[in-house]
Amino acid sequence: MTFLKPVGSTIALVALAAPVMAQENWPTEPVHIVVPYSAGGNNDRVARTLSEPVSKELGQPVVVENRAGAGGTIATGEVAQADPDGYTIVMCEIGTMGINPHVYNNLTYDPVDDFDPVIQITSVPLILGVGPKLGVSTFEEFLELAREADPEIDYASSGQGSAQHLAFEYFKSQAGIEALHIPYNGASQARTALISGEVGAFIDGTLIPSIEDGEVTPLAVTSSERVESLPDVPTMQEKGIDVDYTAWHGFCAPDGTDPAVVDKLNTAVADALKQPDVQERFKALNIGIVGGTPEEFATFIQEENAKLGKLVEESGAAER
Amino acid sequence: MSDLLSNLVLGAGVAFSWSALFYCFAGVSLGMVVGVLPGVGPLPAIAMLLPITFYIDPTEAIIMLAGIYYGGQYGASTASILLNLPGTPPAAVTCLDGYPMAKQGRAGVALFITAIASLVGSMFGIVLVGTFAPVLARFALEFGAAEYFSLILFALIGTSAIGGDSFLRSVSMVAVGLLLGIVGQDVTSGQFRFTFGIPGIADGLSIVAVAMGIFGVSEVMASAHVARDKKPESFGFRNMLPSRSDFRRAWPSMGRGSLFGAICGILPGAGASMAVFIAYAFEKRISKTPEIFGKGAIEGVTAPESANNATAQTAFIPTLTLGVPGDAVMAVMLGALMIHGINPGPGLIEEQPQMFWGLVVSFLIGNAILVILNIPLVGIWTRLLQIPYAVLFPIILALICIGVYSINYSTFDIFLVIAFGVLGYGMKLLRFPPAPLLLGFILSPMLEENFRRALLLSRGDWMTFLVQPISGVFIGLSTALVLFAVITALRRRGPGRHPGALSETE
Repeated sequence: MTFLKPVGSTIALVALAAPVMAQENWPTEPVHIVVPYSAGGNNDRVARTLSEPVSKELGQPVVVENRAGAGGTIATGEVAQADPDGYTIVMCEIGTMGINPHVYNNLTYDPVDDFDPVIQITSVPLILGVGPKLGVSTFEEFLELAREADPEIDYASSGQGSAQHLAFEYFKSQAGIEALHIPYNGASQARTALISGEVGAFIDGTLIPSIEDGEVTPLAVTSSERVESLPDVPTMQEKGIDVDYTAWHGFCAPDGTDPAVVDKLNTAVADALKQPDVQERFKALNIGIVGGTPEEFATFIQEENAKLGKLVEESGAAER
Repeated sequence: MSDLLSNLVLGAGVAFSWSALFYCFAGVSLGMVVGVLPGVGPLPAIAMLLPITFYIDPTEAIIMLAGIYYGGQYGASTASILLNLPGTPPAAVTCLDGYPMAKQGRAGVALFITAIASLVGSMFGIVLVGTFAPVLARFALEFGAAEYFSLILFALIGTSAIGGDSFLRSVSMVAVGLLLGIVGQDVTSGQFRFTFGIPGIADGLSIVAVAMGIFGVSEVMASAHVARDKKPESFGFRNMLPSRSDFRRAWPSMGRGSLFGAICGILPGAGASMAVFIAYAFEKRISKTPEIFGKGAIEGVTAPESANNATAQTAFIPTLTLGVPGDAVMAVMLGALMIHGINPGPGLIEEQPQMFWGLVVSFLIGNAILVILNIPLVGIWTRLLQIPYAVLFPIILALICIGVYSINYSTFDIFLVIAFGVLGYGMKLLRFPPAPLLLGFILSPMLEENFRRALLLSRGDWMTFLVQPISGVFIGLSTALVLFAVITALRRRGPGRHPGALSETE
């Protein structure tokens, strides 16, 4: 059987060399972006808007997979355990990386330790909007009503522990007002209830189309700067309420991914984000583009995680 | 009226261009194919095609995506009728009478009449979209938490109270369904209930797994030990054609089904599942021969099929004119429009008349294409039944497993579909009907969420369900149905018997 020896050692050599080759030539197979929510929301839209231009940059197909469940935490946990070969990455965002780790007590992942952040893609300022129910049209009127109303005014969210829920609780505690939380199943249900007058207020990032139609009145934005498409709407900070809160999306790879692969992915996405038609599509969705390096995103996630943890605790949004 | 005509002419100008016709054809044929495959459905197909639509004209993009959606409704009934395999939850109702028809050698008739019923339902829905879209959208906004709760309650009581043969069995299955629907994360409190730490059911049991389990898998199990009757079937075109008496019975049921479907489509969230159950129950209730339902009644196929196709068309009303998507498919569609810079809302019809009316006319074209595609396929589909069980059953089981897995990439769902297959088989042996269980299961989360939301909004005042007019009407109707069922049961028992022991009516 001696004649097999050289064959055996060749196989061993090839096997040893394979991972190195794989990383140098990466990507040699399709890249999967796991979206931990069902199709139809902003997470899905961001992933699908980028899938095609990023695939052109990488020279390999980019496949978007929706794996919804438990506020995005199931699929995020699965990707944390996946092979760190750069072929499976996850859409990470304020909910799965910032809020849920403080709301759910049995998460299977650590948002900081279990991931190698690739790039921050977006920043989405949230807007405090009111519908026909409250009969107010300015931020001052709203605050006055919220302080005096009995029973207290109510507000919608896309669910217990959602980014929208936390934003309103944060606003409540900073402004010193009372409001009853009415959880809905997703942002579009909550928006419907706002438009029909079932519920009084809603803080969300998808209100602009309804604002343009005159169905929703914008009172203030939660970011530290005004929103480009709503230049007349003040920030909460301008009005003396210390709120600085934006939703965001990005890509994260499992911990242990080769830094060279992370860099390649970062460059591919960053280049795609610079294309005018991509920028136009994001603008149509009212989503702001960020970009930046993996290191910047890693620092950002750490800061957000710490900040949101404090918010969850202070606002009592996690009370079970 | 002349307005409508000139609008349709405008739409025809858009929809009859060669490229629009191509995208319409591509959409509906793809929709039909994914509709036939159990579990796959239009959602993944539409989501996958979304990036491609960036490069084509927005109107043509939405024509194609919409075609996949309503084309899927035509396809979904095929597997239900031939194999008792509901690829989507609403198709489960088509199983009830469609599959018995196939067993009687009338598969061709069932498929043929389904195509016609689908067309009727779609046309009815399209007319509503074209004429009353903005008005109807406002009506949908009248439905808040209290109204949805009362409507769902009415649907649950209505469908089981007129179940006919066995009220108690139906009601008990609805109750089991409601309990199964509690599994998963509670929207109001965020708590996980009955999930036992299993991530695969953190968001509840998969509806498709439950539907395919209790209908499809249980049917395979039940038929596996039954030798097939070697009935010589003839596949001549004449055998596919429904008889004149079939048509006479089917026409009015299509009209009623379309009406229920259209109403449920307008209400975001109510959707096709509720429409088909109501349509079916109503047909059974008003039928002079309710005993043949479940044994191959043609109205039992046509009413739900018309209903679910009408729903697929009118579901565009809230999506386009309010920007409120009724389900995940509509949410993807909304995203497609927004990426193209078109913001759905009350102004859409005035701002984008070419798009809106082009879409409406494309609905007409697409439905015509679907019928033309479907009729010749009927002969091919029915030949499926000639495949020996030994070959057919493994294929069906494989299709079921792939179908449930593809929805959420969850292996747990495969075990779930098998577990529900066993449950369904047990129910079959004990003669418990599967449809009420599925209805209770689908509506359970909505019933509870809206109930608790209504009480939150009213700050705990229970009168909220009665004082709001729409809600009050449904509560009144539900009460009347329960009284009616009790009185009939008592009367049937006759005087002198013990009136309390309802359970002995079985």
